[in-house]
Formats: sequence, C-alpha cells, structure tokens
Amino acid sequence: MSNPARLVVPEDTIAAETLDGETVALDLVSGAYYSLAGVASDIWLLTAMGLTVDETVEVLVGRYDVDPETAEADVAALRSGLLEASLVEVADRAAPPAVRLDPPTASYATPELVTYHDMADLLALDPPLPGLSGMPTTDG
Amino acid sequence: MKPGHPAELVLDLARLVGGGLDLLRCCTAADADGVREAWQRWSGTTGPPHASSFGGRRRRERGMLAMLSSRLREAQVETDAELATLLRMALVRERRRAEAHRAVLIEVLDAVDSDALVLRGPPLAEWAYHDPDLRHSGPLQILVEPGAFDSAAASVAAVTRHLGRAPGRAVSEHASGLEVVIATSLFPGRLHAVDASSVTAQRKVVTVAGRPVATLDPTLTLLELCVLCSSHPGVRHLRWPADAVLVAKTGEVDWDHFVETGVSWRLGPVIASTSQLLRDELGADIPADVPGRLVSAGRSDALTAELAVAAYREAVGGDLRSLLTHLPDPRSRWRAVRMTGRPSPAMQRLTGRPFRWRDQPGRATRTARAWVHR
Repeated sequence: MSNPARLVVPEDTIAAETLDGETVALDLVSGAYYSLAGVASDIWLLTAMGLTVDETVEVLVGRYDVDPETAEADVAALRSGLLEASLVEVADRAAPPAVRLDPPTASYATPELVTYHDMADLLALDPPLPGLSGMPTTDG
Repeated sequence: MKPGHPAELVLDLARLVGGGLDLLRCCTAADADGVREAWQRWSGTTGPPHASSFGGRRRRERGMLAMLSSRLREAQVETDAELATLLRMALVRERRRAEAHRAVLIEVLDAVDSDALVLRGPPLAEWAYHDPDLRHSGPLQILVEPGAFDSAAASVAAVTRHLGRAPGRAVSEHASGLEVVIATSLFPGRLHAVDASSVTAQRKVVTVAGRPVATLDPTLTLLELCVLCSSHPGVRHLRWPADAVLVAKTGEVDWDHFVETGVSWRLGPVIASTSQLLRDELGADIPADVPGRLVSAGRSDALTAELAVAAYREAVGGDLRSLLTHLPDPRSRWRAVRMTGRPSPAMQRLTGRPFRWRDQPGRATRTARAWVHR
C-alpha cells in the first residue's frame, strides 16, 4: 500500500459542492476559489469520502480507460495539491461503507486543481462573509 | 399615455434598471422555456454573457448570480466554461452566506422585542423563493413601533456596534460586518413616510432557522418593493424587482388591499408605474387593471413625476447630475431641473418644505459646491 492516509474536508473553513460534474471549493479563510472538473472532481469526491490513494486508484481504473500507474501518480499529485491548499487534511477515519459516483461524462484526462484568486471581482462580497472578515466588501 | 406626458418621466426612471433587465428576465421567468428564451434574448442583445460581464462596477448583477446559476441549471442552459464555474462558485458561496445571514438575524431578534417586524431579507427568501439560499439579502431591516424604538435600539446595541442614529432610525454593525437598521418608518426620508404603527398588525409569520419570525404580509411587502424599485437610482438592488415578481407569483397578494393601501400612502401612481413595468417587462402576475386603478385613484401625473424625481434625488444624496445623466432626452432633463429648482405648491405641501426666494442664494451655493466636489 503506497499511501494509507485518509483525508477529510475541514467544513468550518472550506465550502465545497459538486455541480454538473465540477467541484467548486471556497476557502473561507483565504477567499481563494478552486475548481476541479472531470477526473479531478471524481478524485475530490473519493478523497472527501475518505478513500486512500490505493482505493481511489481502484475506483478510477474501474471507471476509466487508464493504467493503475498513471492513475496512482495523478491521484497522489492531486491529493498533494489539495493538502498544500489546505482544502483537505489528514484524519483518523474509517473507510466508507460504499462508494457511488455518477457515470463519467468524458474520458480520462490528467486531473487538475484550478485556483482562482480573482473571483472577488466577480462575486458579490457583502457581509456576512463567513470567515472572510478581511475581504473587501461591496453593497451589492 | 401621450409621449412627453409628465408621467412618462416616472416610467423613464423606472426603466433605469436598463442592462439588468435581461438578467432579471432569466431569474424570474415562469418556467424553463422562459429562462431559455430570456437567455437567448440576452445573448442576442449583447452577445453571450461571460464571466467578465459581471466584473467591474456591475455590483447589482453580481448579487443575482446564485439565482441565475440555479435558473440556468434548471433550464439546462449551457454557458461558456468560465461563466459556468463562476455561477457554481456563486451558488456555493451564497449558500454559506445565507446560512450566516440567518444566524445573525436570529441573534439580533433574540436581543430585540418579539413584536419587531423584519423587512424583506431571510423571511422573504423563506416564503417567496423556492430556495431561500438564492436571495442575496442585504442589511437587516427591523421595523418597530415608535414607542418601542428606544428599547429596541438599546437591545440591538448590545450585540452590535453603533454606527449612527437619526430620529426613528438607528444603524449599527454586527461583528460579521452586516448592518442592522432599526426604524420606525417603512421608508427612510420624508417623502415616503409610512409609520410602523399603521402596518405592524399586517404581518406574516415564517420560520427562519427554526425560529418564528414576523415580517410584513405579502400585500404590504409587494407595495414596499414597488416603492423601493421606483425611488432608488437605477434600482439599486436587482433583488427588489426579482422579489416583487416572486411575491406576486405566490398568489398571496390581496389586490384590492394593494390598491387601497397604495392610494392611502398617496403613492398610487408611483406604485402604478412600477407595477406596470413589472408586468410589461418581467411578466409579473399582477392583474392588468391594478396599475390603472392605482393611477385613477391617486394624485395627478405631474405630481407623481415630481415625487419620483424628489425620491430619486433623496436616494442619491441630492445628486442632480446623476439623475440628468440617466434621463433619456433634453425635455425630461429640463423638467427634472425645473421640478428640483421650484417644486409645485402641492409638492411643497407634501414635503413641508415651502419655497422661499430668500433661501435660494444659499441653496444655489450648496448645489454648486456639491457639483464641484463630485
């Protein structure tokens, strides 16, 4: 087993939702926004459920036409990015009883965590902003 | 109505909603087909909207993104990838914000007398929106009877930071940054003074975050929204016309009471012009005869136009230049200047501000200074 760690999304600082195959996550502390689409969204969901790298790879190999080595490298890289961005943290938790994902809508592509720091200019940032007291505000 | 008629000026002002109309149509369309049609119309007018369409000074539009996101998803409208991401982010953020907004409301209400009425905000979102998280609510507005004002303001001060106080109006700020306004009149300023004691009995109780919260009944809420839409520059918040459409749609508005109360507030034609606009432009479920009944029972059209100009100026802190910028033709601009310079006797009686020649030099100096500063 290459990496037995299970991760958890810290719900007090991260707001995340998966809509139409894209996961969007908002860091309530830094104000940064993140997007994970396609395979990256799958990995997010599986990671948030508490699957390890190996368990995640197993699911991906069953869903996509991808070899285990590539999938493992991609999962490890993405999880590392998620940890670095504080979107997830290591937790002492059990494996989930069952895993269910919607059928994939596209073929396998290298998963990517896209970071947006400029969303403050495009979203209405009026108080109350949970966790974002230092952000500039408008009267929207 | 004949072109150039004074009441046209009121409609001109109401139409200042301008570029937000397409967005509003998408958000308030009756069904998925309506959303798709509105989106196509929007795309046909300005080209397909993209993420940068909401940048810069488009604050009004940004407050509607969560609702737009929800409606476009329901109607399965495809947007470019960047806008789709922005809309999803707006939805996620708005859900968290709505939750925080409700928590502040409950904290403030727990500190205030239970007879207080909450205007619009989370209670309105709860009963008029299919998903309460979609409404981008602003400062908390709490209406209390004049006799309860001091104690309510003092109670709220215990959980907020004092920002300012005027007769019948106290503004403070919660630790979250949300403004909390305690008022004894439905509208700020003198032009639309509707005392709380005349409306507090007409209430609707809704459950917000598990707690019963009193708010204005649907009929008075719609009247309030119509006045807000007509008396703020360019409709400051697009949520107001959206609210009005959704409230009209609930079927809970008593239209006879709507007309009677609008007339008794002496705002019949102002509300008529807004409700006509909501019907014509956004397809609001307002009976066809309502605007006409409001006009025929109300004051003269000329005074209506004058009232609208005065309300607009009050809303923008007396900035005449802002008003003139938005009026479409020289004739409207001249009428606005004339009304501002020398209000009619009826307007002077209404506002309690008589026109006196001896006041004019000082007034002209103040106007000139304000003009230079802006």
